Amino acid sequence: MSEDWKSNLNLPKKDGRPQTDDVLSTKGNTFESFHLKRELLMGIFEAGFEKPSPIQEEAIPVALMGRDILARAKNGTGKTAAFVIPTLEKLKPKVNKIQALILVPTRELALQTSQVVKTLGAHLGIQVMVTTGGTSLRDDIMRLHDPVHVLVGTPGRVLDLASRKLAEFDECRMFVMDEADKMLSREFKNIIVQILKFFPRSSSDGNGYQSLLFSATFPLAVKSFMEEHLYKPYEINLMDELTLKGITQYYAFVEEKQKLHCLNTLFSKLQINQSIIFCNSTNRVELLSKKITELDYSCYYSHAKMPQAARNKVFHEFRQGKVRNLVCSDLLTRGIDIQAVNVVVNFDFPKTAETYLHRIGRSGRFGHFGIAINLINWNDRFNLYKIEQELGTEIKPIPAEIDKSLYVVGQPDNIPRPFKLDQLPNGNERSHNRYNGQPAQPQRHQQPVEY
Amino acid sequence: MASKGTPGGGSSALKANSTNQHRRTGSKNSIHHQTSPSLGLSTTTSSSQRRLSNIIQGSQSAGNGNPGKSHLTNIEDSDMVAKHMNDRLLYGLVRSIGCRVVVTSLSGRKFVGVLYTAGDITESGVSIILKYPRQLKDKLSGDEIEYEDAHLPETLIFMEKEIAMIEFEDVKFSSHEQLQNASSLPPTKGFKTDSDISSATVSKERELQKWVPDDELDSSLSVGLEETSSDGHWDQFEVNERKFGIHSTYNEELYTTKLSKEAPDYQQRLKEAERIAMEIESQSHHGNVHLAEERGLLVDDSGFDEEDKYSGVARENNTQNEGDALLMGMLKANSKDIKSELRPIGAGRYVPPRQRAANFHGDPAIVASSATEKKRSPKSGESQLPNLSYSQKAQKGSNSTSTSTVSPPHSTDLHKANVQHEINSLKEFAASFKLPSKLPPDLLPILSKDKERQQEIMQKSEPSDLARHEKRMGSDEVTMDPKVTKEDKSAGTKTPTPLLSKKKMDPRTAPTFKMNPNSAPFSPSSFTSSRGSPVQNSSDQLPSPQAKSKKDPLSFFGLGKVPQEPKDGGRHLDLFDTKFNILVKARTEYEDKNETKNVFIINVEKPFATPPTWPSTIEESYKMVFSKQPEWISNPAGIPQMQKRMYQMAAQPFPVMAPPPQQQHHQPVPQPMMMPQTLQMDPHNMHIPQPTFVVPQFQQPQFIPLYQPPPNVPQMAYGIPQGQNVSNGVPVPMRPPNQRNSRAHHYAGQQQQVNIRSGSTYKY
Repeated sequence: MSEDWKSNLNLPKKDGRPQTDDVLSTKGNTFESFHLKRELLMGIFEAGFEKPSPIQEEAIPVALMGRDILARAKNGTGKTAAFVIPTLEKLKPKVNKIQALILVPTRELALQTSQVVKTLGAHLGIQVMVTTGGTSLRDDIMRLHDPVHVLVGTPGRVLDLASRKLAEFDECRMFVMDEADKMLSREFKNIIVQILKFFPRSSSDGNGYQSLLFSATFPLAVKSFMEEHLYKPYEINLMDELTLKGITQYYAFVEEKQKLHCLNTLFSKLQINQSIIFCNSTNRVELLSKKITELDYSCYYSHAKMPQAARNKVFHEFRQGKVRNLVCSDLLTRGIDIQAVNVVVNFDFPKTAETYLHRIGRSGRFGHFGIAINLINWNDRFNLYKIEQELGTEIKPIPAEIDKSLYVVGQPDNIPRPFKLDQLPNGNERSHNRYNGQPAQPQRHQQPVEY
Repeated sequence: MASKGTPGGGSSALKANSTNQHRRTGSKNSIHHQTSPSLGLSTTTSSSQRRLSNIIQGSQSAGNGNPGKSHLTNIEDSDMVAKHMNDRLLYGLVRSIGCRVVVTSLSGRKFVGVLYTAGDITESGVSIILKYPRQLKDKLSGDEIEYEDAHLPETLIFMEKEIAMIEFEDVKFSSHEQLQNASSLPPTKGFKTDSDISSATVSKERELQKWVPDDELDSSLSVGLEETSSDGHWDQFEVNERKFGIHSTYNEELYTTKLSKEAPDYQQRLKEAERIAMEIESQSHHGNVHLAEERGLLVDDSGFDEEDKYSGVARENNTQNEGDALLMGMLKANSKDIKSELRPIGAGRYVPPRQRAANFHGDPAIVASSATEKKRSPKSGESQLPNLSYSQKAQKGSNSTSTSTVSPPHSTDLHKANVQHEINSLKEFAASFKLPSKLPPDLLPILSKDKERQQEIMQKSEPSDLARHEKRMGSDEVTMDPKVTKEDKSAGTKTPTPLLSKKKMDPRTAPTFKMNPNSAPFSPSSFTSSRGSPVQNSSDQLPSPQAKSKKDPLSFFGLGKVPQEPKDGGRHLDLFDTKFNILVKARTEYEDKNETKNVFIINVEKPFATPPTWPSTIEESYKMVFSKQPEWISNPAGIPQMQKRMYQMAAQPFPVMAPPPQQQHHQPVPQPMMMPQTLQMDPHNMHIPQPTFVVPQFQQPQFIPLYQPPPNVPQMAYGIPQGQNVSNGVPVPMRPPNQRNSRAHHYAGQQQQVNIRSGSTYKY
């Protein structure tokens, strides 16, 4: 076999940022060593992947063997590709049935996961469909008329489609749950159990389908679900600590009234490539984002009370790097992957440790460096201790100067973005201004604002 | 012994694998055959071989392999037995690779090393290779091990002829799977949870460093977020586009499949899809917040924030046992009942059976427990409580709940306008008001001091045939205790309180009674539990706590002053409706000081200062209010007929669909309702009765927060009852394989199906 195909790949620019052991401590496998389909390999390399990350190295061969997997790996270490690659490898593009179902807890994450599937499977000729609430159910029903190979969605909508036999899972041999701990939380679990009733049954031992469960956090044991619905799951635990090596965590102990001032100081001092700022209520999300735009920083906001169209738009533009800052609720806490985010600010401190972990995991994606800054007020302090304890991590007071090597992005241009529209096979005709690293900002560039 | 370490667990596993018979034979023969070639070499060899074979057999009973008995073995078997024993030795050797091995050579020198590999097993024994060998010093006694300093190569090969004895240490004989499990799983726990991983570290509370701003405080930034701007909502796209030139490039086809609109039957399919979508979205979500959200329904999620919904994992035992589920169901249902957060939504929505019932039934108990927030229709209201007049309803609203819609008197002009409006309507009401029964004479002085006016009122309430009894009773009461009415007259202007409660409770009237020393002491609790309803007290069917206590009314009222038992409970109720009507009193008051325009009538001072204390408002824990066993489980026979039917409806195999809108004229369509779900467990809210159904205390027949659980809760079903074979539920296939081209026909067929499913009451 010639290696010509490799030279014809449309590879993205190399992201030259340093990476940590969270993604580098591998056994040295390559994607070729998994004996994947040529078309799939092409998709993988064109997506900018070079070598499998540890979780991919562990999970892909086992998943290809057909075993159920329960895996945990840190935020942003390649879990999505770890389940998407074996899923795609096992697909039969000629069979026009849903062959894989990927469930995620939020709509934005469904969009993102679907985009990853589409990117990696770009040369496979498969159809990937997203179905979540907030979008036209009628359109989704119409879409299911045409061949769909991979269905990505949120459990509620999927159950609605499955229970009407609009989406048929009788040939679906792959069941994937991302953020599995959340998916097995009370409100989702019942729905998921019902969805699984539509999956093929096996005449012998096992399930008739393969289950892959992934998450970075498992605050509770998922024993009961494992026993009922997984068959001899292969457990992967690549975490001997919970927090990412590349993320430095700081707190700023402030009064509630100082928070805005503190944030403004951060904006003026830090070299923010992109930032995500978390608030604890939808109202505060909107107020803060408004304030940030008034300080002349571009800023979108997103929370669950917004129309889905607006949410999607915000999500898309922020991922493409068009807007520099995003204020959001915990809607976007889990799974959202924006490589260029190097600063996460907890404007309000979260309640649970897993939320905290997922929030700060929005920066430092794929082993890169980033910082997380928590604005702590008097009432939050015990929660800070509690979460430190639960995560076994230390949150340090914010220094006057933060070492640039801890987070600063050298060449923002090379950071991968989800879409290279001109390269998508189903080409989108619309012209697209490629991300220039810096969103166009009229006058000042991350300068303190004087009034 | 040969195995200095602890081969215990492993060796026993091996023992379990081999048959007893086999081992015994093998053991005997091994000694015989294996030792024989090496007998000539050294006396210790036999023991070394035996030790090894003992390890291999995993036999704790090494001593039982008695050499003396070995010669009893049948010689003809020996070849085969030898082969078996070779296999065993080989197995043991393989298992021993990597273990620490002590080799005693014929010269008596001892070498320690890691077993690298072994050679073929021959008659003369086996040759082995050690890695990293070290020579042991000769020590005649003592446990200490000392090494010679002699320099040895990395690998040392021992030919079988040179070996006197081999000792293998720490050989593991457990099976491969056991080994794998032991290494991959922590011994006690399964998959590690977060705290398992982080448990090693301990962080403690510490002094936090205050953040100090470097620059001057900007006044616009030194405020709380909520104080910064008046309105939260703003158009982020417009602002960011104007300020930063950000345009959107979002296109959903980047993420999902393309919606092909070229198909010839596109329009047809579109219609069909729309219909199914409507059906799905009007299904019941069974209280699942996520399901409701995904169907685009607005549910009351005030109990959750977005962290709970999208990020946090509920800290409950994941294996929720049945009791918990039941409790959750009860709490959910309870919060629905009492807080009544039902919201009417558009037509065509699914109506849960419980709420359907609320509209079907005339029974006030069912209606009250069904907890519709919607105001009762006048018709149903009359049918339930025919004596309720407008004023009484208003009175209920103002008198009985703190959360009443009547605003407090200290508000502004708007409020005045409201008051004026109410006064006008009261006037109107007064003009047309006619007591359904004869007006008791003792009420006259209360209603009006003016004699002429009293006459007028008397005429207006033309005595009916039934009124005689009341009249007599009323006069009885007047003669019985004239002071009461007198006092009422004076006190009436101040606090128009219900007469009955005054009789019983008002300390001012108490002295007028001749206290009977035999009388039972008045206890507020018995009062609250009976709610002072004479109807109830006198009823045999509804024994109240007072009735149970068998206290003769005589003992309370004293001889000759026992109020006469009403013959007709309903009429008696009328009496209380009219006689103790605060609003009637209020009206007279208003008329007395006619010139003042700002009389506030509705907000009547409460009869007593404490909050309403009927049983339903006493703060009890839910355990007191609800028995552990929900009633829908314990006693199906006790359910009234209609409720039984409700349960049957709820037990339908598939989510019951609301009828398509165009078919609604076929039956009295239940008021479309939706049931938002809250999980709030606020005990205060749980027990506050619902405003619209509160009846004034002194005439309330029965108001216990009748807990009525959703019948489907025990199944914990969301969308589809669990354990339900879905194919039974007659799913509507969108595109049956054999009917591709006859869409019109197919469509009609589906309609039929939908009707079958949408509730058994439909007929075509």
